[in-house]
Amino acid sequence: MHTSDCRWTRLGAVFALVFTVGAVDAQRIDDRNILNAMEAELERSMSELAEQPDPPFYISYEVTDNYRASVSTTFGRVTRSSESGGTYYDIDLRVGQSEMDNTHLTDRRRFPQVTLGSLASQEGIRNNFWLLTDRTFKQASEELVNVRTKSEIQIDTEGPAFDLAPSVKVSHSELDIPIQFARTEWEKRLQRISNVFNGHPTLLSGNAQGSVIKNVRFFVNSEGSRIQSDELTYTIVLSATTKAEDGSNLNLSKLFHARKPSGLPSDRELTRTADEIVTTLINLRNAPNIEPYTGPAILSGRAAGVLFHEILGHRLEGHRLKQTNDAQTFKDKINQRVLPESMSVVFDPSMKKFGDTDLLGTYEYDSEGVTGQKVRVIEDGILKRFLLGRSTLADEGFRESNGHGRKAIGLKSVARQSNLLVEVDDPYTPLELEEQMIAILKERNLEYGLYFDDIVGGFTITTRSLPNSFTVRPVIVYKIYQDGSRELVRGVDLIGTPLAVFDNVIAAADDTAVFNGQCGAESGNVPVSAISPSILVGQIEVQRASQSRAILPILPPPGSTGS
Amino acid sequence: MNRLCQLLGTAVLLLASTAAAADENSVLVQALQDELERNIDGLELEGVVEPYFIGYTVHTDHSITVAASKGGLENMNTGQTRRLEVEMRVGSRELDNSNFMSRNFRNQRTNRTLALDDDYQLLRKQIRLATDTAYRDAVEIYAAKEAAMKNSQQESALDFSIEEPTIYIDERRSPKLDFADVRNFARELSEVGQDEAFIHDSDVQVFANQHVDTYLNSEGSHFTRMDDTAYIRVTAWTQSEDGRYVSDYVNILGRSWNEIADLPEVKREVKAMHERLRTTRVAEPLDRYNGPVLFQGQAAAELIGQALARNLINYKQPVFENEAIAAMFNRAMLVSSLKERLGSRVLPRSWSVYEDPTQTTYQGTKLVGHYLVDSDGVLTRRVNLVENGILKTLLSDRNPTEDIQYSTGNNATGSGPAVSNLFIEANDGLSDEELKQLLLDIVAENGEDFGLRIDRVASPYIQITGVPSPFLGSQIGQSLPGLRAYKVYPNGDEELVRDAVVRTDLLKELRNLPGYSAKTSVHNSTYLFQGGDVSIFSGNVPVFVSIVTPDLLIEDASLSYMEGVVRSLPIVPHPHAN
Repeated sequence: MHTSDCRWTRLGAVFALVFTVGAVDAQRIDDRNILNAMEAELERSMSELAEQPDPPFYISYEVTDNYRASVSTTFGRVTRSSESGGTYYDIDLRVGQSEMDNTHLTDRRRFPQVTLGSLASQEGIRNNFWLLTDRTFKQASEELVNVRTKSEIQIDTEGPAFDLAPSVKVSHSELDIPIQFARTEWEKRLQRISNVFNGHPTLLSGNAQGSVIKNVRFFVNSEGSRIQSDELTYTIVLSATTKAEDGSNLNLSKLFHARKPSGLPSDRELTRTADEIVTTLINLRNAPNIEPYTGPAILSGRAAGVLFHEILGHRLEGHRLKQTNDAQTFKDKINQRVLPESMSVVFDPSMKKFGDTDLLGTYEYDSEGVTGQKVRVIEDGILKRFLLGRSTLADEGFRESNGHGRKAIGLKSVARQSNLLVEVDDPYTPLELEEQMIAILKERNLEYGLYFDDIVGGFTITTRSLPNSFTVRPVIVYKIYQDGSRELVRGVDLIGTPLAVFDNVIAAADDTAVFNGQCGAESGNVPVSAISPSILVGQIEVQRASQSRAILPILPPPGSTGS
Repeated sequence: MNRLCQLLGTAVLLLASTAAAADENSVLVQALQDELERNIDGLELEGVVEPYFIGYTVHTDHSITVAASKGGLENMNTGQTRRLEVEMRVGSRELDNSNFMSRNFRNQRTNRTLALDDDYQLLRKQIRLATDTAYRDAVEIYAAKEAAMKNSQQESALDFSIEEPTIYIDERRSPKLDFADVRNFARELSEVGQDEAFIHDSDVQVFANQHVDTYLNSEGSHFTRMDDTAYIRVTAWTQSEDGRYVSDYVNILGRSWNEIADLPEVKREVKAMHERLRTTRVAEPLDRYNGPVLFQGQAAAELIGQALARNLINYKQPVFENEAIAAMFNRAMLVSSLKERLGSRVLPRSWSVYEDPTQTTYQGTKLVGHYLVDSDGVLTRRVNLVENGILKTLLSDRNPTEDIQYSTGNNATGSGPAVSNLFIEANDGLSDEELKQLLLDIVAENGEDFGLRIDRVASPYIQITGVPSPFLGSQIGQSLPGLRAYKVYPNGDEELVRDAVVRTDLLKELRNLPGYSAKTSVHNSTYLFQGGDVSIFSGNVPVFVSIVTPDLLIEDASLSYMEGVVRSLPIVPHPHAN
């Protein structure tokens, strides 16, 4: 999606099983020497370029050593087994002044610029950053000329905001976390689990995939920060597809993430989940499509989490509030009520777990070397704060980063979400929430309301040039009738505009759930989490989802009658 | 009698009884065979065209790609996959769903990942779904093509040629491949020259793939083909004092990793490449030149590969959905500029040019373009392309044209016809001394101060990270950037120069060469042969090509340097400079 749009989907998984190396190259030099080499070259660059007409006032160097191993199985057999990795060099170099540098008023969209290099020697590391610095400095100098020209011919309405707010020096290093690997065992395990999908001829696919991803990050900047962090994510994905008689393709998947293998579900739990996927898919095949609808609905914790991420979170990302093409929904709503008084929303990258679930949006330092801070954006329903990277706002109180400058490799950092947590003071039980909805149905004389049990993701548009809307893609939806009975339905997307939905949030339950996923926006894919209770919304709208009309496979499965 | 039997006659019996039994992949082959029979006979929808041909290719890969620099790995990918490719043709040979370019970006090929294990029931399930998808796509494409043809003209040739069914089981097995060895090789090789401050950057890329194709079609063809490939590629670049880029590379290709992984020898080649960079960097720039150029060794082979080879391919003009689609894709569609000259002289009168994938070596050197059966199941053979300078035929796959009705067995990778082992023979070549003297005679005749000799040129298919492509703004075959060029003075003295970029219609020049050497040499490289809906919609596969050619003297070449790619020298000195 383009700059101000977001598409959020669950991690396209794969499980893990790695070898004896913990990075792309086991011959990597000592972590301290990597940082020393980066620091030495950074200091040399700052010093040597100081005589230039517009010297850099800030440089940061970053290296990410990535390693990934994965195994895919289908119907009890291995289909792919792979191992990959790369060592990526990145730089952020600023010329001009911190209030107006070479990135000023640019939308920061660009293609990822990926530079590969090795970490086998200090000389090699310095050679790579030498070339990268030269290229980036020349590019930044050209950008600064454009910025200065634009500033002469455009009205800058933003006031004295920082393009790069000052930050404090930090020093941090973590121990290497070894990858726990037993590829053959994991192949067998995933084969056993995906074997559950056998014996169901209507399933077109039935997969169990596993992966491990390890990212070791090295960061130094001209403010003296030195950071080395080590992050491991294990993922298991169970998925299956079938096709309904009306041609609809029906897909269901369940993802599990953990920082250690022991945090993943047991075989018994995974097998049970695979069984549930089969049962739900078979039920979905026979479920009716529903017509476009407006009325009350309950969103499960996972669905509500994605909703908050899309309609609230993206509109609180500070850099957007400086972009003239952004709708800036909440820019002037500080200290105004945006949610019920009982609800607060927090972004907290320091939170590692919720219950037993590891959170993906966790980090200690953001991509700009700033400590990730807990930010209470909404307190008792009142909007209080925005998410900020080092590109800050002019208003007092928003001139410092709160550690949410994030990016994928090769892209420029912007303010992004971390772990979103919806807190409720006086929650109801799920049953009470349902009773409230039924009361609304009776009051409005509506036949049914909707319950969104599970979703696959969503996206939102925040630009002014397009409708300021969101879409959430549900996969398990029930009609709830006035008598409390439920009917599984399919074929709709949840749509709407943000302020209209907030105005209609009535209550929340005490059944908080976690949605882990990848958020894609202008600075690339970053891992995020959303934690929310179920919520009751007085009025939502659904529209027909896009749907295949292709007929069922022409020939019956091999081995069946007539084949 | 069902459709399969109508098509195959006795061939299918042979296939079922002997080939499958002889094949090590018998579970896979049996599953393919059983689904093939069931689908060719059973796939039908009321009022919709039926399949008349189904081809299954299972590509099994076990590969490693490693990039390294300065003694360490920078990127690595390993994986094991088994991929089914379904070729589905509906309608008839007169008119089918192939060779149609539309906004749907689909063609007659469908891909699906298969289980690595030989599970007969699961394989059949996966083959069935892929075939079903392929059939649905095929009938849609067929309908769209039929509609488009009502408003357009196209060649009256068949859409699919008639070929004899082939059964071929490759008895060879891939040698053991140790991925750790490959990684260590790349790492160690990348240490060469890492202390050289004049080299701005240098990268090593190695690749080794154990590949087996298993093929069956509804005409009774069945083959298995081991198609292992491997390469070692080392690139390096620097800048001369005026900021111009100076780059070079080592590119070693083979049919197995063990065949090319001679570390001491490769190190020697890399060191020699670095030495070339060192001297070229400080050589004087050539800039502009018009006159004779002697292409030797690798430069002569690349000249043939880039200027002649792609013109030896028989590309069939596709049917376009409409004018807008035609405008969109016409650029990407290569058309042989020699196609209209079949039967005419296109090369020197004493030249014979032939393609022969059956050859494995040439004068003791292994040829990387060797294979015995092509991706359509057609056996390869020697194809005489040019005799006495006259173009006799072009290389073709099973997409016939009015001029060439049958496959020559040259669908090397499944992306369309391609050159693989190309031989140029001449019976009146000159000795090295005679050829150099001829160059100087032309120089004298033209009243020029010097002639030019080039023995290394760049390849458009080898990208050097950090360096703008010297081919920018040029069509392949119209530009040949020299990496190693020498002014040759009338007294025989030579002076190394840089920035010698040939910008001439080299194909045209080849017709009237004033001279060429008696000595021939073989060079291996990779080329892309893009053309047709398969290569554009399914992706192009680089083809390993061996070219055997004499040195070539071009009478009148123009050389100039494109200034747009100059960038100032680094502001900060190299970290090792002091």
